[in-house]
Amino acid sequence: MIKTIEELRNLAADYKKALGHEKMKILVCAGTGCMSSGSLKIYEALKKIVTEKGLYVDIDLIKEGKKGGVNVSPSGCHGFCEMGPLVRIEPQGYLYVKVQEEDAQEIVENTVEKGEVVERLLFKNPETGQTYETSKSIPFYGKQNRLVLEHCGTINPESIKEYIALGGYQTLADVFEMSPEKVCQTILKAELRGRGGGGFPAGIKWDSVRKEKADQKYVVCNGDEGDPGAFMDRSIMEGDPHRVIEGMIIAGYASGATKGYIYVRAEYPLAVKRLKTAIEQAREFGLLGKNILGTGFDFDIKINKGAGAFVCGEGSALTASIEGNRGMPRTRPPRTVQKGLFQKPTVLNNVETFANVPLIISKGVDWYLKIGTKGNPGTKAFALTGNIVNTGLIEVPMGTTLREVIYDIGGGIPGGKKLKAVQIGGPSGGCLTPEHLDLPMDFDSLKSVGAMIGSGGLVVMDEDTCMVEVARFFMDFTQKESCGKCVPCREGTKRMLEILEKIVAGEGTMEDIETLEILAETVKDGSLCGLGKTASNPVLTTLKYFRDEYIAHVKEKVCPAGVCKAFKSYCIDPELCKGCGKCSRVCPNSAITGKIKNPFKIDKEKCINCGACANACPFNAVKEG
Amino acid sequence: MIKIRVNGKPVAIHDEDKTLLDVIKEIGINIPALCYHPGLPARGSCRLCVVEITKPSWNGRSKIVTSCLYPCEDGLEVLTHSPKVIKLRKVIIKLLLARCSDSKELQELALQYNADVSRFGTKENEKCILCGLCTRACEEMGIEAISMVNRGWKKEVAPPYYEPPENCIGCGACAEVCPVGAIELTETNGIRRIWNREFEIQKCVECGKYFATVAQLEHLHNKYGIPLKDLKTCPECSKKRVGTVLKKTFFD
Ligand SMILES: Cc1cc2nc3c(=O)[nH]c(=O)nc-3n(C[C@H](O)[C@H](O)[C@H](O)COP(=O)(O)O)c2cc1C
Ligand code: FES
Repeated sequence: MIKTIEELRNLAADYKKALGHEKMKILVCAGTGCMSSGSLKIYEALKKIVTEKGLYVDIDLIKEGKKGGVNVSPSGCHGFCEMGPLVRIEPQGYLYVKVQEEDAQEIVENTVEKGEVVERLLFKNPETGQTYETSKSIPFYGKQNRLVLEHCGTINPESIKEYIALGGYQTLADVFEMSPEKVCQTILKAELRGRGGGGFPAGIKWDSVRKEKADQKYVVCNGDEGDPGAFMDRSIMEGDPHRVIEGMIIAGYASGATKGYIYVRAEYPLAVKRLKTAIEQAREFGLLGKNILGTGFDFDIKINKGAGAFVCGEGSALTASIEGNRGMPRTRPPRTVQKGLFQKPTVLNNVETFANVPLIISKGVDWYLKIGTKGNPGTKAFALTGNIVNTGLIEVPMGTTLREVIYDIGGGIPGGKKLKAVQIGGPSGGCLTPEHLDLPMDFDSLKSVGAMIGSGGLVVMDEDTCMVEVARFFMDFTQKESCGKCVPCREGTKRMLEILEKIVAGEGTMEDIETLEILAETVKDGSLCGLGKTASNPVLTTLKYFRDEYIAHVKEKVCPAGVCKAFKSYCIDPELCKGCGKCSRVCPNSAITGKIKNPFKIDKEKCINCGACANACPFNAVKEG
Repeated sequence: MIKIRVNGKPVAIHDEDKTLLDVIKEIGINIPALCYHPGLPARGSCRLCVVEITKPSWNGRSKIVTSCLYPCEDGLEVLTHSPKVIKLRKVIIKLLLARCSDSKELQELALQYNADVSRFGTKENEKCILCGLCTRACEEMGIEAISMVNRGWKKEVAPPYYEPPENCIGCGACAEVCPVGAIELTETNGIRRIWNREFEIQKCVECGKYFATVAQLEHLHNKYGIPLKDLKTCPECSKKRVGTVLKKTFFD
């Protein structure tokens, strides 16, 4: 139990010194992705071998006097999930990809004992064949600026000692020496904007709550992360849970709140486990609980598991859910800062927002303001997926262009295909086009083109993507996730989905496109909560940038990307057909007939355009047209 | 005192707890508000009561808000029928009408707002518009025999497990507040039928009129400890009786 600020500082110095005695550190990624491909087995194998060789150390062993050994530790997500399981060797910075349990022996013998790289485990660019020794040399990492994610992949998320050794919780010492007002001012001056989607200045929220008079105030951390393509918050909670807790304690002190809640998505059991461990450790160390560091300030945190609905990530639905009520949004005012959780003044921020706080306090406002663009300082984490060479979790300064993200970090579009669009911000975001490649990605610039950072999901789409189908896909998601409370969202998303389904089925009319637009505007302006207010974004942006594609479906009855089944038709080229009959056997609707060794024929009336025949034909005789 | 303007006309408000809708109704402006009932907490779900608001300090920006929930803030300028509001209301009416195409109430509204529903895909003939007044009424009664179940498009009002609700007292408050007559309540020969249950109705011991279900009276008895025999007189006769008692005591 640390009782004073002084003790905390001394302990940190101690731990730091101890950490300095580690000769080498082997970090095995224990993020959700790598763990599902067996990384824990690799961790255990490595630890066993290192221990058997008498090399193993950790902070406690070093403090007992053991020096110069090798630490093996699980870590949070490195971001390069596609290449997992990942193993990283520090201080050399070697990154081994797609590691198997059997590789453990070789890693220890060569890298640990001889200091040599295991060539065959290095990352090799599939397009160029080039291999990379260290993670920094891989463009995927090299072009990033990992600040909020700095610990994700480099420390053991289950060790508070390591976190403290690296400077963690030190900001509390600084913060407790400031007045709450001054802390709010600092966050305000740093222009920290909410990373949960809206980009609202966190300092304004904190200061509003600070000014409210109430017998109880709350800090709530939104870890619901409902966007299907996003996993930034998960990675932070799993990989660096103490940073989120530290941010929340600071918010509590600044706003006068003594109780905190972290609302974690039900599908994130590992995040829950890591946060639980971290909270228990923080309590043991006296960093949570009563009279923290002897300052008289009390703060404690509870974890709440989400109810599993997308809409529960919306602020008022989330607080309702914590209260034990149905996760349904309500209208504002009153605002959350006045009447939030249990009708008390509440600071509600996103995981990544809280994770930025210790950084701002420790490095200073001026330093922070230099990263990113004017009015949008700091970095943003994105989940990069879709038709892109390197998928994964990335962090870049605000204002980085789409071009840098897609081509420098993401490695471009695979198969030499052309970029068609990027969906940013998940189901409530909008799409960007190649014309936006040089647009700085920050809250304001994106808003100006009708998109938004939203959750931070970035789905890259190549030329073979049908944008009407994309709009349909997202509308299908939101329609199912609508809570159903208000008419525009409940009825409007359903009607929009019906129209989009009609268009991709080749039955749309020009009038439908018009109705779709009217509906989209109504749902946007008339809905009760953010889910409805943003549900139209995919429709509105695809209509704006890809209107011809809608018109092609409706008027010319073609899907320009060749995706929508309704517009496909198949025929057999009699010149190429050898009459083997394979097509006829796979056809689910018995639409293909013919005599063996004579050309077969497709009955257009019966054909359901499934394409099974084209896939089955060994002679490429089935043509699509 | 709060001063606002509604459609340009200045209005002074003394009761700070009033919502914009309260004020709009008071000054005689008619706007649709299907999920609103003066005796129940507002919910803001039909979105028909939307109005456009602005303030001189907002630099010409305006907001669309639901008047049934929005508090009266000093200096607000409220437009109840601006083009933007009308356009929204019109589409919302169309959406509701596409769901409940047989509803007289909605058809009337559609006529008022010149809302033609033809383009909105398949018409359905649901009766319920999911305004939630019935569930709120039931909750206010302290019963909660019915509630909203499911999400999104599948949302509906139903008793638990779709079974006849055991705790229902047949008070009929749900049917009473329903703005579109979607809850079936029938009465024949002293029996009330609602939510697939049958309730015996009490005859007033004085005038002989059927006035409340026996279960409802038992609920009052259990909740407030009023003797059952005192509950067997209908409210009107009770009033009369109190009058007679008073008259007897003071004037005779
Ligand atoms: C439908 C919907 C879903 C949302 N989901 C999330 C979420 O998963 N995580 C999150 O942080 N914010 C989410 N938000 C935004 C929150 O309402 C809220 O603005 C945010 O948590 C505030 O934190 P910030 O200011 O730090 O971003 C969602 C909003 C809506 C309308
Ligand atoms: S009356 Fe206000 S939303 Fe229905």
